[in-house]
Amino acid sequence: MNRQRGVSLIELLISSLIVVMVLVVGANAWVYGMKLSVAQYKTSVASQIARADVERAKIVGFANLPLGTIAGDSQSATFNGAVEYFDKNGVAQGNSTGAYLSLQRKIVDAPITVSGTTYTLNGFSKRTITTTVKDPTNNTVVLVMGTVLAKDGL
Amino acid sequence: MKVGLNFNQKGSVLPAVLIMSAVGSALVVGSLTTAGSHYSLSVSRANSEAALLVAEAGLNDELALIATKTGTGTASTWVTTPTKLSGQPYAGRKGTVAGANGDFWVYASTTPYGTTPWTGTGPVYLNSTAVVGGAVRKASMEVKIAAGTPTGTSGSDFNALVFNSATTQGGHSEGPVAVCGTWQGPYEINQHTTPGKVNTIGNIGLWMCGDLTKSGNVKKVFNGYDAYVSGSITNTLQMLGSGTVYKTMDGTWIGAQQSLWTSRSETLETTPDLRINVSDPNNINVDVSANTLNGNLRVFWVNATDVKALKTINFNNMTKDDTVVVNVIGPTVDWGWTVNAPFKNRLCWNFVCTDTITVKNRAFTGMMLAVHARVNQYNNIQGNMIVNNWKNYGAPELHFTGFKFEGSLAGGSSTPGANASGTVGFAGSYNAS
Repeated sequence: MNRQRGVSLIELLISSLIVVMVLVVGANAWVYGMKLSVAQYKTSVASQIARADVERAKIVGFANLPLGTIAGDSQSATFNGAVEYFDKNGVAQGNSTGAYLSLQRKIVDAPITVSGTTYTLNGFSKRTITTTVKDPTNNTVVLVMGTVLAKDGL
Repeated sequence: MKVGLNFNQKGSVLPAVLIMSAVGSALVVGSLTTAGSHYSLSVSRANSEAALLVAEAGLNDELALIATKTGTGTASTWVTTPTKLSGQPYAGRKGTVAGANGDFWVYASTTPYGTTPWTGTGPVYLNSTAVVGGAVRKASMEVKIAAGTPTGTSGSDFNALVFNSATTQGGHSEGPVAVCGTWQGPYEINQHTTPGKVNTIGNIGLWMCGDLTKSGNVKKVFNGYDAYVSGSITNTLQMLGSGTVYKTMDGTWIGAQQSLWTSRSETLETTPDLRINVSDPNNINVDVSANTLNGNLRVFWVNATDVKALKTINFNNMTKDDTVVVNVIGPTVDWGWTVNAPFKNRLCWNFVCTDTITVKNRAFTGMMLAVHARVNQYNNIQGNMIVNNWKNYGAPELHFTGFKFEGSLAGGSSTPGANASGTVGFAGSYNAS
């Protein structure tokens, strides 16, 4: 009987060890799963607001989007839009407080026809639009979407 | 209360824990797999959305590229053909959206996503395939492409049109200069007020698809005219006046001019002509009005060896509506003639098969149309110089004022030229997948 009691003790110890290991691995897996879930949700919302922003730019159109600042070599111009902030539902909010995501649109025009300190677009100018969505809590880029507009194009 | 122990159940804890751990692990793995799948799906959707935007960017990129070409050449050359290049997964020209992930491949065809190249007439569709992070999207749209109307603003607006490299020791041009290749050495460009024009771009002093390199003094562009240089220019170019240096340009324009002028040269060579009588080298007189083979286009020919002697040629009875063309036949030309003509800006010397022209003993007068030739210039050239290579020695000049070619090589009333930029745009049919 004493020998059988000893076996039970060892069995109990091994079982406890397995339980602890399973709990540790399980906890980490749960945390990782939660991070994946959050990343999935963030990517999904970011994708929606980025696509919507590019579509808005397309609606404004080649001719009506704001002009930018001429580069030093006079070959291109860049417009950096204001940073916009969004909550967890992808709804725009007025400031950065508690924001879930931030978005900034950039427009690069080239080639351009420079006249003094201003410039105009010509028939073969391209307007490259990129929309960058970031996580404002750590300023990491979630995703970037971009397209090109041309005169009389899509 | 007395608790009884049942030793017959010994060893049941470990199996139970193992079973529970296995079940727990399966649940964890299942949850992780589900979360991972959802994340992958979300990324795939985002990539797919981005890929469609990149595909549309490809269409607009091609549209802008076509717009740069509609002023010159034949329509079929304005678009990208549906050719799949070695090592590329899709047909067409590869491009990117700067700052965004992914690539696009775009080409033109006669049907949506078709593989038949556009010949320059009929419907034309632009087709784009984009790949972003493994997501593939396609887009196609019909476009309308129309050439501009003839304007006479082709390469004849340039004092020098050099299809390949140039080397200069000095000198100046009165008019604008266009070179494709490397241009080594000092030069003063466009000293007179006659700027060049390429399609809709005006105010051009220098059109350079290649590198400017320095040997001695820098090159100078006068009178506030602009310089378009696709290659390097570091410390080689000085702009006098308010001219601007542009690094973005249509690098294909000179190549299109080469095709255009080669075609014209070959056409003139096969046009009915009369031989110039050089039997009395001290009395070379050409009665222009007596040549009635082609209306006001008066075409003559001489052997290359005939123009070597240091003599004078007189073109008589030439009217303001005449254009005189002289086909010079032979591989090597050592120029020696002084030219007298009432309208020197309507005189064209066509060297259709000449490899080398040396202008040393006498100045050259009239348009030099020598699309295959290397010109060694020691003396002045008075008129347009359209050549393959150009090398000057000392500081000879290119004269343009009063010598810019105004004749009509087609026999019509206006100087032949390329088309002004045409129109290109979305024609209403779009689909994506």
